[in-house]
Amino acid sequence: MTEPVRLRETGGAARALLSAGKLSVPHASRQRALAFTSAAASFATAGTAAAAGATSLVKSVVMCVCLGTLGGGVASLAVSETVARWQAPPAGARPGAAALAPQSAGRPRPAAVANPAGELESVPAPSVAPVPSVAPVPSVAPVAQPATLPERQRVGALSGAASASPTLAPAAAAPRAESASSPRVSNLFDEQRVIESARAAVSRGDAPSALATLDYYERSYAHGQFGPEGLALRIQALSAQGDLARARSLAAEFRQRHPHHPLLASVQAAVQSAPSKR
Amino acid sequence: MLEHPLALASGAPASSLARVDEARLRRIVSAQFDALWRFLRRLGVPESDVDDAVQEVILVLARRLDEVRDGSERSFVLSTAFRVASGMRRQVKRRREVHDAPLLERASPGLDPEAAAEQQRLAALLAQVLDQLSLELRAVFVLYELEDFTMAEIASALALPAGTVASRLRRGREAFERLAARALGEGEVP
Repeated sequence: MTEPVRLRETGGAARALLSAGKLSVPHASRQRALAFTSAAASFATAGTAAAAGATSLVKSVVMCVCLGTLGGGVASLAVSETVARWQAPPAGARPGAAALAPQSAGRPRPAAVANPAGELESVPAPSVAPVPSVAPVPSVAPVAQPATLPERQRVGALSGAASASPTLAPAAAAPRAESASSPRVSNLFDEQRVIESARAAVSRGDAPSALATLDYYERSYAHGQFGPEGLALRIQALSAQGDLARARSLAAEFRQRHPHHPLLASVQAAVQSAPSKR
Repeated sequence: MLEHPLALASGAPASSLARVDEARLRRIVSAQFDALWRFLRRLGVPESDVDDAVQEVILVLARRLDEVRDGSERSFVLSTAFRVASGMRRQVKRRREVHDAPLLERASPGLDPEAAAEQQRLAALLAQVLDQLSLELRAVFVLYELEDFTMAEIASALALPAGTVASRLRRGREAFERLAARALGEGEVP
């Protein structure tokens, strides 16, 4: 191919404009991207299992999100849903879920990227890889639960002692209103995976990775089922990296929005005990 | 102790899954980040959204890492970035929202105020002109004219036939020269 002379080496208006086209890459953006690689690798690794699980589930979905690093205790949230529940007409989007999304640690919240399973048609979604079905062997029998247990009961039943028993608790107040039933099941797996990845990052002291992962969660699941858990993890990550002002602000928000949430005490402890590094 | 929920659902322990080579993923991201970031911006992704677009690219890269051959990392990253930017552009159009003035680079340090203002003005005009190109022409144009890719490198990076690259570059350059002349002749950034 014959390479034409570049316009900025010629003259005229094109040269004048192109000479102003220099871009410098922000260091903070690079750091955020690198911090996200661990979570991305985790999602990609778990994606196969998640897709297989979502495909093969017949009657129930069981989720556990262990927020073991919060407050030194183990708080587990188990969510059980019957397929019938997921397929039921949504009672409405979870109140406050979108508003819950806090500002990320160093930048404004994004506006343009939607759930990767939906809007970005040309980009494969995180868990859409077709995977041969694995024989479904749920070790927990599907149990239909009342759909409207209060949050305290839902999570509290699993706090601390939850690890000892896979007893199913009702799911979060309302399923996502905007997607079809099958994607909901898949999305719940995806959500759990992202939250678990953020939790793991907090556990190993990798706050930047945790925050990058939580940014992704909030962007992808604006009406996600794990909003309070994500917010609690963000508060702890911010505390861990010494951004106490932001952590305390979010903790106050957490207290206001979830005054009876079992994680509230852990959240408050996280912002009270953390030394300020800034 | 509860089993991992994914293991419960799949019947297979998570440890049996193929692990993504996180070290390689990180190496690729680190090596390609600057080109990726600039390419997304030059394709018109607003600065407020570019970190999110980068995350989308990283997710795709992580999922398909095994398919990325040594030496083709940049090609994979940039072609993925093109698709992500394309998806974001459709979303922005659907939402009919106006974003920040893309490519408004901070004035270079050391410039006197007058020169800095002129640089900003030209950068804004550049953004305007690039916005008038289709994404297909824009991608080829910016890689050639601003990133100094060769045409062969562009063909590889965007997985396009050489003839398509040549055609798009020619049309992109013609359009850019025409629009640039008009922009500088007519002057002002709205």
